[in-house]
Amino acid sequence: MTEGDTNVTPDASADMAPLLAAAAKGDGRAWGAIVAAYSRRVYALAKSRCGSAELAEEITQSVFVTVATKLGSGGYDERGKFESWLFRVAMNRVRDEARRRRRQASPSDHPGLLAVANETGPEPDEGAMMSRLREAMGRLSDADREVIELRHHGQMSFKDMSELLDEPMGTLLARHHRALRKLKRMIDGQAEEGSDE
Amino acid sequence: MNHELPADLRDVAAAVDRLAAADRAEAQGLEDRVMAASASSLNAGGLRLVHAASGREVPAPPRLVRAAWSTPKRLAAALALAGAALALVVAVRWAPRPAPEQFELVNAEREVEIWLAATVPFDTALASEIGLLSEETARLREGLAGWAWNDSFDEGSL
Repeated sequence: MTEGDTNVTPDASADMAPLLAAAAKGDGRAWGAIVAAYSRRVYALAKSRCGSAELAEEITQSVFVTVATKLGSGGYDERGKFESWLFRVAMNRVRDEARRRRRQASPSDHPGLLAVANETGPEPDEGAMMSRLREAMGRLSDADREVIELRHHGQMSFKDMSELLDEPMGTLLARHHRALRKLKRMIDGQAEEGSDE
Repeated sequence: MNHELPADLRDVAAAVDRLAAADRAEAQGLEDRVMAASASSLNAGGLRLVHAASGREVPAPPRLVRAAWSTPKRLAAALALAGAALALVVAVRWAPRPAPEQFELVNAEREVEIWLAATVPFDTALASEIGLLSEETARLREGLAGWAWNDSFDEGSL
């Protein structure tokens, strides 16, 4: 279990209503609980997409500033969909950043290179595996990568993903399978290439 | 979490989970900085950023300035454009030009020459030779005289 997993369950949004109501009234402890439950999930999603820890943190901070501002001003109406709303805000920020980076793209911004540069696995074998995995994710289509990142980095349920992406759960399950299968093929292919050398 | 997956995909899903868990765990003190950045927004609104390393608040500059600093090429282009505009203003404002009295004299001489050429035909080559007219003025006179006499001839023939 990692630090980021301690406060998080994918179904946490079910019990969010009292916390959200208290936070909206300025209760710092309630807001702290919300931040503890979601900030690392948003961070991991942004980090996976942007490949930069610094940028991922800036995005995470700005997402929570947006959420806090909306809550404080009564701009959010709680209907049990907090998680999908939060991740919609996060995905919009990530997409804005991706568009901005495409406009300023330089050869050193290749996602695979960024991923390798930011790879932090302590064990050599595991580190190599994580490196291959990041590189393979960088080669997925945006749609496939989005499903993987929302599910695994954001730890979203398929129900919340369905609300966020406005797609039937069955479609998302199929997309998730397909994306994982592509990843597996890419990683297996890389492993075979590596053993041939 | 991956119970819905076929058996052959569970290993890759587990690997993605480990990667995501490593990403979630890596930012030490993230919650504190997010709290510092956002807590006041519950009541006050507005953007605050907290530096990851020091934990201190970073003053958020206006959006336009941030965009400019984040795109050095745009900033350089804007500066070059402003420099060119300034150079143009300087060139127009302080460019050397004839003094007003000099300008009037030149115009008065031209008017006399044009009147003479159009009305009093005389030998401009001789006038130039004896120093009454400069070569340039003589050429001007010849051109104007030719035009004036041709014009008179045409009118007469009508």
